[in-house]
Amino acid sequence: MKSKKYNKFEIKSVLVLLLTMAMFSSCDERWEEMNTDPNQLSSLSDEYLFTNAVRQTFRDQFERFDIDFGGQFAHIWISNSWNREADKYNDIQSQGDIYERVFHGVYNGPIRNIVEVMQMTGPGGDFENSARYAQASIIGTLNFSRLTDFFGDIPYFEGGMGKYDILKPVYDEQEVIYSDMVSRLEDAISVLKAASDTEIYSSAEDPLFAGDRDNWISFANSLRLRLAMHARFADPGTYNDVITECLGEVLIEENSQNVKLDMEDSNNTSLYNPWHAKIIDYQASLYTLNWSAKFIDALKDTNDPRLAFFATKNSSDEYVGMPNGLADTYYSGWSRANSSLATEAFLAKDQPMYLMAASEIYFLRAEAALFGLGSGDANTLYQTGIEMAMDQWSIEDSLVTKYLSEEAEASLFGDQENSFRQIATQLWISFVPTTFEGWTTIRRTGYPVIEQRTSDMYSQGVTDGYMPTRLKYPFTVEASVNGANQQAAIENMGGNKIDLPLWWDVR
Amino acid sequence: MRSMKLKLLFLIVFVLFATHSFSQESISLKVEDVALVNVFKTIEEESDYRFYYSDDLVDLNKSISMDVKDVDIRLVVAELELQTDLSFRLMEDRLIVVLPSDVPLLPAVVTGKITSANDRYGLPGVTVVVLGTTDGVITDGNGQYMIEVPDKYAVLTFRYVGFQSQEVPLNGRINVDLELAEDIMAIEEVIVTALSIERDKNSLGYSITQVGSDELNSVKENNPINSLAGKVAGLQISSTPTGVDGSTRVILRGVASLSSGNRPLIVVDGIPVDGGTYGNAGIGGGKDMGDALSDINPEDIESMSVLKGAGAAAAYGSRGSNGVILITTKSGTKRKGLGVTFNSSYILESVSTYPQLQSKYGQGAFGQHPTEVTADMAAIKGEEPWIWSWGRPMEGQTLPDWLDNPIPYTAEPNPFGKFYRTGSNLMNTLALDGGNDITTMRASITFQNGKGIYPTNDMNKQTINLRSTTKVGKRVEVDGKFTYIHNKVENRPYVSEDVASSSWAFSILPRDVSLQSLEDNYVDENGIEQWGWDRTLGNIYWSLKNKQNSDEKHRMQGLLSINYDISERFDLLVRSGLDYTNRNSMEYATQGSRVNSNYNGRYSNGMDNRLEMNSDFLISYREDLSENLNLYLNLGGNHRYQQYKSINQWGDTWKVPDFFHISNIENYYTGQYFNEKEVLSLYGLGTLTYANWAYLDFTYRNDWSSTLPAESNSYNFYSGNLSLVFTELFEINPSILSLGKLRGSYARVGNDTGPYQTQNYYSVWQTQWPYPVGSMSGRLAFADFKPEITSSWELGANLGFLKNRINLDFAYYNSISENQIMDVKLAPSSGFDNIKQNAGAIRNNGFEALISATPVTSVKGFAWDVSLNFSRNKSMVESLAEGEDRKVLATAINGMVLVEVRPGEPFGSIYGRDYIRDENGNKLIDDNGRALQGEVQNLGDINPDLIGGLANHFSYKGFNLSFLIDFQLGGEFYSHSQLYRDLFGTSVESLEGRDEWYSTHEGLFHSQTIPGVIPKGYVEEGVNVNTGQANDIAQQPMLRNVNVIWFDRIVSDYILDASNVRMREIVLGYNLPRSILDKTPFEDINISLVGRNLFFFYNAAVHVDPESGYNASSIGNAIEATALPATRSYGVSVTVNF
Repeated sequence: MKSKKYNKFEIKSVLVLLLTMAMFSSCDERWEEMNTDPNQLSSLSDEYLFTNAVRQTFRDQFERFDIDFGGQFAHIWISNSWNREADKYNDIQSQGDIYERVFHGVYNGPIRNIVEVMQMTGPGGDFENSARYAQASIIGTLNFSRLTDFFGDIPYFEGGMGKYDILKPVYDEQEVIYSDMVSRLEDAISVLKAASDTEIYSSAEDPLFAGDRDNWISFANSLRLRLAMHARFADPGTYNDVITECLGEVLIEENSQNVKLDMEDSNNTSLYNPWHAKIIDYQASLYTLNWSAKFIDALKDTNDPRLAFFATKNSSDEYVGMPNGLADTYYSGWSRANSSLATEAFLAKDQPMYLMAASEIYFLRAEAALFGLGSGDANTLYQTGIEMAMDQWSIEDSLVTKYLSEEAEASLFGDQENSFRQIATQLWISFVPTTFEGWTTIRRTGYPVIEQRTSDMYSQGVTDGYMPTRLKYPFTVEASVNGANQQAAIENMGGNKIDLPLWWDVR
Repeated sequence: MRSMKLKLLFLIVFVLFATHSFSQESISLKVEDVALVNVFKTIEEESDYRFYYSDDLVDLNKSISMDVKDVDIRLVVAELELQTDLSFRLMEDRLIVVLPSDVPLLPAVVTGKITSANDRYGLPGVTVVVLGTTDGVITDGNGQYMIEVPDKYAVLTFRYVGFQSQEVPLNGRINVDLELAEDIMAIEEVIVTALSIERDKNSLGYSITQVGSDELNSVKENNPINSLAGKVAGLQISSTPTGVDGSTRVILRGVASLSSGNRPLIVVDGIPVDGGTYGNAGIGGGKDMGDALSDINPEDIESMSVLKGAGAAAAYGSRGSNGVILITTKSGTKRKGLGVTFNSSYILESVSTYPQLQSKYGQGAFGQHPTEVTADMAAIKGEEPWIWSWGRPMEGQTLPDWLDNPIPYTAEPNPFGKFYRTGSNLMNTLALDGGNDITTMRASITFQNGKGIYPTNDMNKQTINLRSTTKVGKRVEVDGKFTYIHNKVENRPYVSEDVASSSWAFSILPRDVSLQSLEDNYVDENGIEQWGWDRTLGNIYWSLKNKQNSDEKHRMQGLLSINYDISERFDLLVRSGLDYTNRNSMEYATQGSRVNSNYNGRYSNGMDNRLEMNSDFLISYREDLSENLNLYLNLGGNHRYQQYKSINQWGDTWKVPDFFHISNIENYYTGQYFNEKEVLSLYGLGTLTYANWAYLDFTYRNDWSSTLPAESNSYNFYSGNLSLVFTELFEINPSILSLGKLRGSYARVGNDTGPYQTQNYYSVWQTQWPYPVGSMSGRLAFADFKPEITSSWELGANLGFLKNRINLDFAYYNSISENQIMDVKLAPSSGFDNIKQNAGAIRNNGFEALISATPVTSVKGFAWDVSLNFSRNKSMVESLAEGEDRKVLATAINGMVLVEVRPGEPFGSIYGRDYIRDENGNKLIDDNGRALQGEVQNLGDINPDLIGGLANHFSYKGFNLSFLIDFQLGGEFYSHSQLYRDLFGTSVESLEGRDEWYSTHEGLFHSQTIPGVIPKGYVEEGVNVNTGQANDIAQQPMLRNVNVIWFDRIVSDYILDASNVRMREIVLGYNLPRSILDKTPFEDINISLVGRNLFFFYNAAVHVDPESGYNASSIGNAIEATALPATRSYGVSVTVNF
């Protein structure tokens, strides 16, 4: 055994090489920069997310709210064959977990952004601003209210807070949510009243009211009125007072104050009304929507001038609605080509998208007056509501006058209950195409009456033929990831069925 | 970075202070008056020395006496020289050449011819080297050589891959002709392993398969990886039929990662290259943009090594966790003059497997023609179900067609058989090579022209490859390579449910609608597309003429490597390589189509650049620690930089017709994207060899990645491999067991993530809405990444019988991939979709076996080789993120079919609804004859039970014939197209019960019955749920399918068995004999007739090739969604050398 020595040359070569390698080190700082995404921003001011939340509230939800569920439950229209489970009162969806699509659409759309805006503009936020916080809070409340009116108990206080490490939000009771929403709106109104015009989102940043502070206040107060009216039968003690408060504040009074998003007559899909894209562009011959017989008949029976605006005549030159809830065999045999469809005018590219209109507020005020809340004459308010609703669609004045003067239904008559039916029915019509609110009206008031389906011609679904009153909770991701909280809500609500009435649905 | 420095220090110490010992064999000899030849024999028996002498030496019988103990051989030899008139020359490897001491030792020239013992043809390319020197030559095309030797007693060695090497002492001769025998085992003996280190296969403790160019190249595939199908145990390859230059799904030993593509790393000549895909079709449509694998020119490949397990790939660190495919390209050889190789192949491609359609009933529903509902065909053109094929029998009666023209109502021929053309692939390669002692060079240029079966789908590709090695002085060798690839593809076909998908269209087109009428009337008088309705389908001729796409790729790869021979013990390799791809793609649809372009037309174009640079160094150190114990150490480092950049523009609404340029677009949008990533690595590899029977390998690697958080950006991998050749250890009689080897391996490798995952960002929208718009990603960042870790072990054996005429190679492996970096779903109510996290584990285990044999080799030159490989992999999901009970990887048909992973179930389980069945599996039927709807359940999974291939090779004189049959047993997939054919009534299966129903119900609406007539029709097979009797109540056949598929959402009938046995490849080749070639300037001419994917021996799915998955992703084979029909290819290939 003997050992060999390494010659100097070998040692030198290897050492030089190892030293070269050592130069690899100290790259941490460079790497931090390298691993920072140049395609996006680490920080962004709040107005970018605010406008997006507004945009998403209008443009992104209508399909779920108003086509898939609202319009079919409200008996305003019937969707195409593979989107008809709701119309059949079924709670399993051939399209997968459509309940989660509703849930996801709102939380992962407007709520994600508006929650972030509220973090940014809230106390201690990077862009602290109480007026903007108030505006964000109104948009947030609008979205949460629509969601709770769909499901009942929902994650509210902790909803949409994933970025702040709340990955499994707790569900809150609808009663608690309503109480908080109403007080939030109250706060927002008082902040906005005290704020200056330079604090709120400017005309370049406010797609709803172009920086008009008064319109924001009337919007917040009208929304507060809507919520209080929803809740008034469930907790009259609390909400009759709220209603009275609201009636004493500024409300939406003109169509110019409507909560709507303007659309453009453009070739650009992202600028024009998505109803046009949905029904005219892509599904032309697919009959995405057929008007319901219930709706067509209601307008036809009262010679409502809006009928011609909403619906086309069939090949026999008649307005024919399609019955809701046809069983599959009858549905296949129904000639959809011979039923009334939506008109080009109703679906025009520049038709604004609505979430609240003056007509609704007048009808709610008429209802309040009818039940002895606030001041004003119920019939006058009712007729102003009808005028506003017709004006919204630019119905000719002469036709409006004729309708108001000639149609019995255009004036309140009979007992309180009959007047209530009339007001609710007009609300139901006035909400088109925001049919989700129409369905809420039926749930809240019981009008128009949706009869139980008993004939074999109709699908009775899982509700024994009664109109569904809520959506089931999502059964896929939300159920598996946030299952314990969802289960607690189900127990609190007494089940997870589509015919379970919500907290405010007591009439 | 402190830990890195510590490790460096450790390595320096380790390298510098490693000690070694060296011993020489000593000789003891006691002889008295023994003949010299017997002295030689005694010494040869006692030691490893061998004597080479010529039998005519007179001194061989001379008596010798000697008594020495433990002396150096040189003393013994000196003593022998004293007692004889001979002199002795000590050579390396303990060879002793005996030569007469009186002859003058003058330089001489030796010539000869080397032939193959098999067929007696000259062997070109045999290396002839004078033993003990580096002087050598290579035989020419005829096997002739001429070499200068220092004297006529030198020893020549003859080496040729695949043949047994020989050492021949000249013993005074100047002409040595030799037959080299094929070395059955040696064909696979020298293997290219990780870091391109060539190793003896016996020394490896892991499984690796090397495939030579002859096996790869016989049938030219645009994508050479496809040629590996069926040839490598454990490798699953499927190339979906998506047109020329489509991409290929490559999975080695199962799917290990939920987040990455699971594609093996591709390394060409030591440099990792991009092997990813450029964008795949989805279930909803799109087109397959091909993959980076197809850029590798099959003609330039010398061999491919498939490193299957983590043990083999550990040296590649984070990128080796899905295995590695090492590609060695051809380089120049030392030879006289310039070698020229010309290859030309022309392969035709035609449709082979496509859906069979019914030809009895035409457009309509409930057994009625649409005109029975409305007189106006145009009104009903787009209305379901009237566009289905559930109408009246087509008996030549006159009925209005889809254009409202009265025509004879007859069935059209199957459009799948009619529409597609015969494709072709013409490939010409010219390669020049040559070299001398200093420099070698090879240059090749390939032109390829491909035509797909889709009528406008063409490809043009050129590849230029230059490779040169040169020696600078004695110690430095430089190796350089440059490759340029240009590839242009036009009109990649739209597949799946795309409005422009031909295959989708033909699956559901009413059976009476003729292709001719669609072609003649693809636009109406206003220039608007006709037959387009809803989102389902356009007129395929409109798409063919008005919707076009093209893409063009420039790809450059360069390599420069310097090998510095520092000393006998130290080698240093410094290498740098880059892979750069520039791609442009364009797509447009003219105005005039609702379904294709929203009437106004669409346009998009984009460009992207991908860059990957790798720089390495590798120090090798070898030392004989003792006579039997050898150490080989490698210490290396790698710097990797990857960058991706893209810009895109797209929009809609043409201003001026037929001018396809972004300036002509009214609504336009642009996009821009950039990312980059850097990884630094240090690694060490060591091999300890004991005698010729024990081999121990160990690797250690540390990676630092820029994509991980600074605190945890360092992670390491290691492996140990052991190989024991027990036939050598126990000196087992080779006539019983010629080779016996056991091997074992353990390894831990990992996987990092993509850039920009560790913090949350905001993005700004490019919009024409006049307000500022921004958003937050739905994916939350996760700051505490750990790398994904795969730990695996492997055991294997190699056995050779009958002088290795029969060989067995078996491997069992088990690996678990943990800390999966994956998108974990968040509760939607959190406001976010998912968060990247470490969670979940997938276990893969299985076995691989290869049996190869040479049943016949005759002296007359007939040989038959056969090999069978098969493998089974079980891919089991052990866990997912906490609280996640499943993860949906893909869905089809509105979530009716889900491809999922769930803990405790195989990767890629297919979920959907089944019927309710009794304990015997019979469907339960209600009193209306309708089967009862069951629950959503696991209906199968994508993993085959067994895959493999059987290859046979026959050779006789100049002929050789080989064929490869490959098979897959088990594994399931969902056939989306078959479901739609049954729903639309176009499938042959939809005929069931139709004639019967029609005979009792002609002209009646579906729900009507005739009093007193018992309806006939589709009788569901099963038992009545109330009576337990076999069901005999008939249903209207269309309603039966609509109810089952659409309303009950029962999809179990469409989960098909993927089992198949196919004739993958046949090659019949002929080498022109020397007797003819001698009169020509050519050295070799080979003509081959080739065929691929010729036919199925068995195909459980019948209507579709189970390889027709919807894309090349990990679960791409789970869903068949109308790719193009499967094709067969056949043609001729000619290779000429001169």
